Amino acid sequence: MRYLVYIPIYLVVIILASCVYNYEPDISKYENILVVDGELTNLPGPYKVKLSRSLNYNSNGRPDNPVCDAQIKIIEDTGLEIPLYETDDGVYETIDIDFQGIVDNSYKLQIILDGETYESDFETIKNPIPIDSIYWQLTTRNNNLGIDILLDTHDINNNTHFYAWDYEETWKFQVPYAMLTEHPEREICYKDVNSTKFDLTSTANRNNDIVNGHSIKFITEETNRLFLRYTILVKQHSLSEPAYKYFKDINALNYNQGTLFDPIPGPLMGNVKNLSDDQRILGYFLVCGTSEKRIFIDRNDLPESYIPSSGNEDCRLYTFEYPSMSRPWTERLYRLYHPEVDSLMNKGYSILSENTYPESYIVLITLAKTPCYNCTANGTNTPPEFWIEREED
Amino acid sequence: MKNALLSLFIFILIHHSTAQNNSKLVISPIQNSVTFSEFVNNAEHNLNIKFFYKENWVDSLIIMNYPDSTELSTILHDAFMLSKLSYIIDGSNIIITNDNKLQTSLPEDFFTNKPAINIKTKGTEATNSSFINKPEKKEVQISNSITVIGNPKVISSESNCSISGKVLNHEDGQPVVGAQIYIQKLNIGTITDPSGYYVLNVPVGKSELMFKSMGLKDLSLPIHVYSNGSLNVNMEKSDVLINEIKVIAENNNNVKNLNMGVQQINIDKIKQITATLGEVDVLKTALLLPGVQTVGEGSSGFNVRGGSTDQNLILFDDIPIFNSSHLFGFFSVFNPETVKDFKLYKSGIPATYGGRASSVFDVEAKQGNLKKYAISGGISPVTGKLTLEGPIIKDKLSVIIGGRSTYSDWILKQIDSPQTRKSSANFYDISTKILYLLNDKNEISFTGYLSRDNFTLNSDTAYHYQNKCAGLFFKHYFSPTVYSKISGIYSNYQYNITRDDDPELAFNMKYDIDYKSVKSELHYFPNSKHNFIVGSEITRYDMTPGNMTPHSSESDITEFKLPKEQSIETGLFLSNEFKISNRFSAYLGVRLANFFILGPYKDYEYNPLVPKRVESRMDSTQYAKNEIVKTYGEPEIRFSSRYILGVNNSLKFSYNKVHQFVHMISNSSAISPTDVWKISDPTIKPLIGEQFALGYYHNLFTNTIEASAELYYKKTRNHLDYKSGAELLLNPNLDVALLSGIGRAYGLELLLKKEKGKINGWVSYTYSKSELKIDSKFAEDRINDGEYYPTDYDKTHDFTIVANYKHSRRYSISSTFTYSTGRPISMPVAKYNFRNNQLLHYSNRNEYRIPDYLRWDISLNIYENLKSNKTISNFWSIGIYNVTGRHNAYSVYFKSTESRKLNGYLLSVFAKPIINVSYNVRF
Repeated sequence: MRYLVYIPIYLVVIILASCVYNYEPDISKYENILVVDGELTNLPGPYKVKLSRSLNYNSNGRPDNPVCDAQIKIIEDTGLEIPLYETDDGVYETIDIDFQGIVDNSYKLQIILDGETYESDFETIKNPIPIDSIYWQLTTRNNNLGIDILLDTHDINNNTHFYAWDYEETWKFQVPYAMLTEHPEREICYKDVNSTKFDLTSTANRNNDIVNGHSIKFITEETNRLFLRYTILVKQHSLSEPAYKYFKDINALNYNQGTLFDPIPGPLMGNVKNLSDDQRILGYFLVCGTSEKRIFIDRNDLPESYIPSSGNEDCRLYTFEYPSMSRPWTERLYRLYHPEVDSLMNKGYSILSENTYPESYIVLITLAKTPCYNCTANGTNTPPEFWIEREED
Repeated sequence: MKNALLSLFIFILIHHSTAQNNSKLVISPIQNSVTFSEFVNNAEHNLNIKFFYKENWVDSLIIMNYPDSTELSTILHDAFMLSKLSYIIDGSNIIITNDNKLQTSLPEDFFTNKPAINIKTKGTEATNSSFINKPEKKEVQISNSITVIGNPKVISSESNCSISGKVLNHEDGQPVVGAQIYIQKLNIGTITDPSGYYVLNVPVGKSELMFKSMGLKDLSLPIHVYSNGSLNVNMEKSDVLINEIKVIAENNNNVKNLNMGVQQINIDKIKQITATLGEVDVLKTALLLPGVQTVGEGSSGFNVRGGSTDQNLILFDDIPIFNSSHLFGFFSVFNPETVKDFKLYKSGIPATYGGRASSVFDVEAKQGNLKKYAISGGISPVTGKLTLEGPIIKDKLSVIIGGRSTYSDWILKQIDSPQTRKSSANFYDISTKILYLLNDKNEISFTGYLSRDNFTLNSDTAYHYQNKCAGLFFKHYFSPTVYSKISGIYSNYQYNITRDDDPELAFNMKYDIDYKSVKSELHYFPNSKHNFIVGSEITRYDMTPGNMTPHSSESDITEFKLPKEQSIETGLFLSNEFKISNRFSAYLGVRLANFFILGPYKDYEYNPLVPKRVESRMDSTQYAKNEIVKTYGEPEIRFSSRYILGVNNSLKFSYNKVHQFVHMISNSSAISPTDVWKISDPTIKPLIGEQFALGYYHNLFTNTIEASAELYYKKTRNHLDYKSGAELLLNPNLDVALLSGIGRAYGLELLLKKEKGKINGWVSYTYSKSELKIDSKFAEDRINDGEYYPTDYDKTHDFTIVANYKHSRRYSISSTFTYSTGRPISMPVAKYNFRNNQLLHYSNRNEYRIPDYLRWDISLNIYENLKSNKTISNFWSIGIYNVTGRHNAYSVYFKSTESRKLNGYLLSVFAKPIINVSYNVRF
């Protein structure tokens, strides 16, 4: 048995020697509850509401459990009712292109499903606050150099207090071996990633409703986001206090566990309830004022000390020679003939080119990992509509 | 009569029983007449003897000239002829008494070497066994002279007289608590109270009084009682406990006393038990007792018989301590060097205590040495300690001051890792006790205590919290059977949270609770059949529930202050412990507990038709300063009884009811320093706890093993729990965030304990249940659909072995083993998709449990330099914590990751065996 000798290092024991292990308990209980996931803002529609059912904790099946054939409508406090139509399994959308959320009006969601009526509480679209600026800064965080994308905003009316941000990132990237293939157009692609959780801030305890230098995203050198060109669309939501509290609790319950003083987890229901028994369901119908702002960051604008990954560091080419035969070589035969080919293919390598040289009676094949010669494996090779290239000066 | 009684304090000092032949004390010729004091000085110097008397008795005495060598007895006889003084020669001690002439016809054996009453009368076999291990060292002190009690001139009309006095430790003058005083032949006896005081009814005439206490040499004292009188006794320390004398039918303390669910452990015993990471910890030792549990490894809060952590009244010399933990709960706030012992009442709480529903954890501070100065220091993996004690005036005024501090910050600085850069953690505590024995009738003592913690863990937010306490105690003995105690107590707990990394957002958050109390009690023992205590207690609470202030003028933080709260708690109590028959004894107490909430206060009225929310407030009443907003209170009954079944076994029953007016509200399972204490208000009613307990006690193998079984059932009303997701800190509407319900707890505790011998320790098993039920007519205000659910600290099975093995006087090995059922937690019962993420859904509280807890610790204690005239003594302790390296779960939690995956994790704080070494030195 190995003993660790900590002479006077009690605290260090707690900080460094406490261990976290994976733990998969056997949770037999399963609660099947309706989940609503919808949003209405002052930005143009269509507005989507997703309806699903919760899944068993241990289930590995479909990640979604959509609920179809519900009748859903958004009701404005003026009495206006806007129906939503199911466009995909469990996805309901507003069709009326004239309908747009109006600031200071209140809205609720009504769902009729299997004879039960569910409704959210009326919530008002708060005044959307424009983002003053989004900018970046080179900083070091946790010993890692990176680009910190920061945001400034303020409400001169001192009336917003509860902010939430999410974002959509898009970046251009390049793969090294596309030119060697029959598809050179697969060299440059664009990749999208959306934030998965709300980033929240409250200014309720401040005299002035100001947010300065709020970090939206920290990009280390380990990613290829900033290797060529990058853009981020930040959406700023002005939340109501109950919505702010809900999303804050969601974050605490799902992401911030594992400290010495964890709050004890408990049920966290949203703002939609069954009218017949007042039981609340999961999820939230969010009504908020939203503004958005996009910035682009080009590699050429960044300091030279920042050296991002190209994303292609482990790209290798392997070429193998085979005698030409009367009948064509197949992948199975390639694997059999050269055991290295077999082992490389098991590691995710694939044939990027295959050339027969009849004069020398040989066949040459070149292997590389698919993402190294086909950028569409990780993105799309058509630039998105909003994409703007850097203006050369 | 009273005068005569009081002047009859006889101090008896008994040294090693290397008694010489006293009759041959010869004084060399005295040429000129000298004062008595000069004579004493010379005689003490030349003959190595010691006189005991009061200066004012002898100030006019002159010793005439004696041209030849003369026997001491002759000189004294001549000198005292014309005075009221008389004397006793006891070995090398000459005791002078006033107003009490000894009978001239003292038994012949008075001047012989032979003990007046031989220990052999106790049974030859038992006596022999005690001398087997160390025949040259007698463990029993036998006085070879008769002590006269009372005035021989007064012929008592009664056949019984009461003798009273104090039992003190000869070495340092500390009172000996729980010493047994008895006359075996007559089967009568008593024990000393916390101040070492005792009263015993004895028959007139000769008998043999036996004094016994753990760690001290037994003392056998022949007495001759004429009338009521006093007898103060000093008991000597036995250097090393090897094997105490076993005397049949004497040691059944556990069987015979009325205590039920009461455990007392002194600091020597605590130090013997394996320490947590080398740090001797009073509270952690208590956790090894049956019925005492904790939520996790790092939570200093403890749960007694299914009660929450705030239901324990933690006292340090009668001063309540609000936060009992250092460093987020890994260590308790008591410095073992300044603690004498602790006493834990799990049931049968006496009427003198009130205000907390589950238990009283009474830590007694050590008093300074009244005889000589001592310095001790130590270093453990956690702290460095230094303690200073000694007499300012010998035998009258002593002081002890002890402090300890961590040096973990220094270590953290040496390790430059991103995890520790923004972390710091340190604590210190200082405690002091001053004792002033004004005279035989009055004593004054002062206890002061300060503890402070600072920590920052991977963040820019710093936490500071501190306890500040002081107590002044005055004790007055009206007569041997009546004494009073008046205490003035102050205790304050506060914490500060500071953030100053961003000047614009820098803030200070402060929480503060102030406790001021005056308590008086009168103890009256009319005879050995009754023991009355009457008293009163009045406490004022002032609480600042939270003030948020900007850290500097640059800060943009809004000042936010929650209204202060104030209230008064009163308690009037009367109790009597009485003997109904030889077999049946009982204790009956009543405490009238009242609570007054004082203004200024804004009281809201809620619409009863809808769940209690901020929106459902209908009306409010504003109360002016010091106006009584609301009064709570009821009499509380405290009852204990004992029935002796046979020679070695007894049955006990107890019932008690306690109101609790201060509550700690926490939404994390461990005690965190930012937990909120809340005093009852019009909407938060006082918690009322009631407990019934039944116990069977049996001493086995000629009292070497104490066996007990205790059954209890408890119920609580107005038990608070928080609503899921409730914000507790700085919440102006805290009453709306809380729910109240009823609790029940029951269990069985089995204990086998061996106090003495080379191998000692205990084995305990507890089966227990602790549940809460929060029901409401509104679904939203129910927890677990209004059904009973286990509390966070409900641990069904708990098994503990504490074993100490004393190999020799130098080495001892100690080992503790604990096993308990994992604590209840909530686990996700579903997952769902929301905003492109997979989230967890938890439903009922505490439906699952973390894996069972099992830990084995072992330690080796090495004592150096055991000579009796030791000037320096060293003590080493080498221990291994968690020998098996089991990954005990501190918590189990679930997280959603960026990649839409859910993971379960188990956090283990001490996941490996940890070796620790600590060193202590004493001068």
